Amino acid sequence: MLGILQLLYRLPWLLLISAAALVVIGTLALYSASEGAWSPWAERQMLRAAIGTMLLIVVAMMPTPWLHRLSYWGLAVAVLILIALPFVGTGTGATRWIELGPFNFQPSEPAKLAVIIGLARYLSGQTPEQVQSLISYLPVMLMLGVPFGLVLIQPDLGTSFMLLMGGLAVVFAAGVPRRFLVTGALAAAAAAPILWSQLYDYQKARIMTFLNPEADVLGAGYQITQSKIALGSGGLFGKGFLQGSQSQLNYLPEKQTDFVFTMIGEEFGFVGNLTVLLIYFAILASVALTGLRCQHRFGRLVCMGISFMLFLYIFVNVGMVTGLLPVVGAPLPLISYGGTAMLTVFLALGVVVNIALHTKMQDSDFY
Amino acid sequence: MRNNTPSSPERSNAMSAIWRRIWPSRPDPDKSRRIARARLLVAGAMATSCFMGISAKAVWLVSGQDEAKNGQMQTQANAARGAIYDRKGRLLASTLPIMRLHLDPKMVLNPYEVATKLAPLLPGKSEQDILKALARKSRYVELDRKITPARHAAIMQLGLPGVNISATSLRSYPHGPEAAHLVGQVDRDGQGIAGVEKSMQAKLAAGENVNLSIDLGVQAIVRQSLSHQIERFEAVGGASLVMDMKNGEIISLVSLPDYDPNHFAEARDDARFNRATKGVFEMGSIFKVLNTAIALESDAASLVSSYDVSKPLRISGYSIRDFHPRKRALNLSEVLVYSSNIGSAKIAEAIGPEIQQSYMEKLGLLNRPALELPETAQPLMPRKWGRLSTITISYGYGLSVSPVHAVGAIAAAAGNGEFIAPTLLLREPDEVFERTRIFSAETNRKVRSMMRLVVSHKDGTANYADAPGYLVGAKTGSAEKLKIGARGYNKKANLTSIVAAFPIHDPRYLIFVMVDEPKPQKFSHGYATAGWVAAPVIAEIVKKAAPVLGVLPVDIKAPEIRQNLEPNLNIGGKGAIFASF
Repeated sequence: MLGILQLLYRLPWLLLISAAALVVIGTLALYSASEGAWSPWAERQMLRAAIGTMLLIVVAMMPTPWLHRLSYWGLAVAVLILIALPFVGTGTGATRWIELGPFNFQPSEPAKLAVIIGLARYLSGQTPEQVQSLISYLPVMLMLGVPFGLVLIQPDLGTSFMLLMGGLAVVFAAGVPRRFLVTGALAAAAAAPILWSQLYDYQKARIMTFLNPEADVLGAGYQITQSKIALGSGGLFGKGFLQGSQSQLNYLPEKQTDFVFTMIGEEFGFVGNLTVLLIYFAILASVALTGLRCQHRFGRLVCMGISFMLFLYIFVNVGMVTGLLPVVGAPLPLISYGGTAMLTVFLALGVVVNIALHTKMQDSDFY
Repeated sequence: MRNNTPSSPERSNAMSAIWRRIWPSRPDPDKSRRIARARLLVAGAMATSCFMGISAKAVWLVSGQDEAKNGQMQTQANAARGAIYDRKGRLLASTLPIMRLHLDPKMVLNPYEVATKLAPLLPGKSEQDILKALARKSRYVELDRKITPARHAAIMQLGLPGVNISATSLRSYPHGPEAAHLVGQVDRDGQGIAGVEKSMQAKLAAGENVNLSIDLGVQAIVRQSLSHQIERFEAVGGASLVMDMKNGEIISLVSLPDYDPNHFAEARDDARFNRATKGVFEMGSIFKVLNTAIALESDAASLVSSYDVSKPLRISGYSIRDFHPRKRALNLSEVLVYSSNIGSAKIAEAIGPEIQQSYMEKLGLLNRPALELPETAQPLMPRKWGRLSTITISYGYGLSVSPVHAVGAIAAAAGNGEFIAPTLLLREPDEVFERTRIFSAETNRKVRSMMRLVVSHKDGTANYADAPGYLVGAKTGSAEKLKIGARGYNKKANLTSIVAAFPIHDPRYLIFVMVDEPKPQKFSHGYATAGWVAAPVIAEIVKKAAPVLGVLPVDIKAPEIRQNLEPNLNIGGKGAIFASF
């Protein structure tokens, strides 16, 4: 066990402080989203953050080999829940949620994390030579393809792609040869038109709207146009806390979840947005550096996967509200109102803290 | 080859070598650290550039928006935005100058003085409200958007610093929800963002007025009749269009639910959606009108053609059935009047995919319509227009179009044979516009006579559409809706529609009515089909709107009317009976 001073010294402070700052910003934003009231969003978000913090501490204090051992079990449980989802889940049009008493639980969120840790365990057991050979990727395809497929048929295009990309980040970090990367990219490019023809009409509409939101400002393009107006009207320093007209007058839809970044932009301006992005950047850098400092391969791959997962959340969300990407519905980690995504991020950060506390551990300690 | 099988120890070695490759238990040496470091660098560079991209986009939004605002202020200074009128000069949208009262809390010397002096002049605002407004940490708090001139003077008399009034303008829609979707909306800078406000933005911004082809009186009749029926059948919504077939002018365009454009922010997404022009639907049996007209025009069928409909038609694994099966052969007019899917399918096979597709193209069903609204839709076409698609399209499945598409195309078949793109702008009396002949007068006469029989014959599906004396011809359609988020059709969610032309001997107006997801009712004996739901709306619209449109009732037995209808139609073994009794 670690001494208390040693523990305090090894804790990734930048990561923890940044995460705490984001939770505070998120709570303030939700307070403003309900026109200056703690209910319904801000108070519940604080409760979730408290639960998340406890989860983080539990995961962080585990011996790292436990994580390693639990990884396949975690992935198996995630896949089983995804398989069971069509029978027990709820949702409008798509089945994405499980109702657990007062909570709605979205299994595809923790599944992202389970895929990353599972792949990290498998690939960390592979030598660089083995990673060169195609046969090593059969299990990878299985571990990545099954959850991806299950989320895709819910249907939830956005989340399934984020899950896929998070897993591929681990594969990339493990040293997949460049020839595979090139072949894969070409295959994806070739498959794109086929995929397009398989999309549902609402998905096509979103992509067409992304390409030209002004074509239909009252229909599919409404969210994005309002979002851009709000961001633009915030100017450099914003209109002030609780003063955003787009958000306070309910012009902006989903302002408490996917479009919370827009609301921050309207009330705190470009400076506010930039601050949030910088804090995220600090978190990503801190997770990546933890991975680099780590002596064992498992921890390196996990950190790489998690930092990429967080990056995807941020990039997809911010890209969406600024009109750089189509509307796919991705939360802004630790800020958006939404329980499962927040707890998943806390779990992921718990794993990173765990690894940061035990960077001196060697590969051989896991076997 | 067979002799070269490796001995068993060798094979197990090879197997375990493969197994070790897939599932090794040996961790790797340091080399992997170098790989990870290099790869992280690449990923980090990519992530950083993504962040830069987002920041750049945010900068662009902030700066771009400011420019747009500056530009707007100049145009506002130049001219007041033009007004929008209906065909009889009734005002649909106009800009009013208003006075806006706002506070600058920082400049206020004594908040209590301001509150006590101002409150009596502002109905609906208490002293508490004003004190609350003054407590905000902003330099601009709006108190009232519409100050009357008298109050304006009174407030100025108070001479309170920090209490400011500025002149601004308000876009007002005096008829509220009556024509909400087609008139559209402006944003807070007064720029058109939807409807005619957007499509005519250049003209309106230059201070010019726009005259629409809409007749507000007919619009009110249609909206009221449709919303009444939506209520009675607990439907989720509906749409209706009335078009003048002689020149393509749209007389009425209604989409329900709707909203009050004066309070646009409060409208729900569903209410904002224009079902009449932006929604695309599989129209169902009303497409049989087109099928019949195309068959007659391309000589794929004649009035004496006969089709065996006694057995369901099986084609590539699908089975095509009739709603009311009949155990005999039907002639061309019976296929339409009885609305036989099997008969329509057989007619479509005689037409063939190429000819069908070329007619659909000419009838404007394969492209976005040239309507003066930004909210128009691209039709959803089959990926491959083969035999099966040809058959399903004949009775209205497999090609999804908007109501405005359907109206334009069916007007050519039920009107005078020419395709005229529907328009929302009032035509000049001597205006020359594009018209494309598609069907002959002969084909038209047969098709609209059959449509009359759908209403007047006792076995027709649109008996409730009749309005005595006005000679309504129609065709109903009840289509199952596609499941949301899944494949296949939802048997419980129906889209009922009807298309009607009147007066049928000299067709002038085409009416389309669609009711979305009606629920079966006791008074309809558990039916929620188009004949029960949509047809009565036609009767009501015709009875009330015909006088407004200047159409007079006629006597069907008069020879000059009879000569415009086809006498050689044969339904159920008897000759055609056009009159309704």
